[in-house]
Amino acid sequence: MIRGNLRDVALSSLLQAMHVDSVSGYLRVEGGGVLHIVDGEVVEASTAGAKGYDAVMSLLARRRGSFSFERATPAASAPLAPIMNLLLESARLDDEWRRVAGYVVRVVDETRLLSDVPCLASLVQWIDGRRTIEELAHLSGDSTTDLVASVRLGISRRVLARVRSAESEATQSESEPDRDYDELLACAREKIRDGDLEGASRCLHRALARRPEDRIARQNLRRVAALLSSRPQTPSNQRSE
Amino acid sequence: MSRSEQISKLLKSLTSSSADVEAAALVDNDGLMIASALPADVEDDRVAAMSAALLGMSDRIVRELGRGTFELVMIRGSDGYTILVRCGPDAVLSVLAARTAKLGLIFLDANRSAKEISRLIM
Repeated sequence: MIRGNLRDVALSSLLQAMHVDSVSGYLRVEGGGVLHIVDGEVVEASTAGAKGYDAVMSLLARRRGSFSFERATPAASAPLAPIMNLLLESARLDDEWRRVAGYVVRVVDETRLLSDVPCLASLVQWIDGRRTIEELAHLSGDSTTDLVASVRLGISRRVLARVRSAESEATQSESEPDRDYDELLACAREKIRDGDLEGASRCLHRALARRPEDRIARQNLRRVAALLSSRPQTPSNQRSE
Repeated sequence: MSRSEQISKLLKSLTSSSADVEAAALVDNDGLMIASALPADVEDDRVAAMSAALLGMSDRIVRELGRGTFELVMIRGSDGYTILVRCGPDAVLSVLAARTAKLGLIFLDANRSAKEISRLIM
């Protein structure tokens, strides 16, 4: 039995190590859920509110909590998705969450809110034009991925609108300038040549945040992930919060 | 138009110049795709990985055997050709062509495209 805390080692790092060693067993996150792993692949996952792929994404978003891994032989089944695909999608959602966590939204059309966007039902009581998305996540208990999806849907249906305050606009102008997509890809390639794979990964995540469906950025990110996973694991390689 | 859009446009022009050119991609030495004109059923990772591997091998062979610097390599399979053309020091143009392709024309188009792309990426 292996035990630890997600503050010290990320779930994504654990899954990568298990994939490399083709281990089988149950990876439990206290208060979160459980992943069934067969020969290094995730074949099943469950949390209180989700199963399968959604449960994996929900668990990968967690940064706190103890985990335990018990070697066993879960029922064999087809992988939910290749490990790298799971990790890349989780990283993309992570990036998206970091971008939107500070947004504030308000209700624009109350009459259509529940009929057009029923997934907002659990949030509507807390949306007041002052609370950030992150605060809404704490209050509602929704997973961050579900919350971002619900808010995006609400904005696209013009039921919600983002509140842009003078303060938030000032913060945006102080932050890193919006880099051209091409520049981000070129930056990533340069960092790979310099051996800075983590830096390359960050550039590519930013590029993907601008163009989520872009084939080139996705391929580049998969390549970086493959290079990272083939690199020997040292304490400095592990992600910490 | 951004640089990547210009390169993509050149690649699309290459693939549409002849029905025998099935796919084209610009890949760097590390196996990263820079631009592509690949059909949806062609795996980006496979093209990039094979191109980088073939580039590395070809570079080495040319150097080891005293043939100067690598410029172009062609592999003929029963179902078509794979052609790699150097595009500056850091990238290579990969072209997949049908078995019925007229190689002279393919080489001409590929070399022209490689020269234009080299100017854009330098």
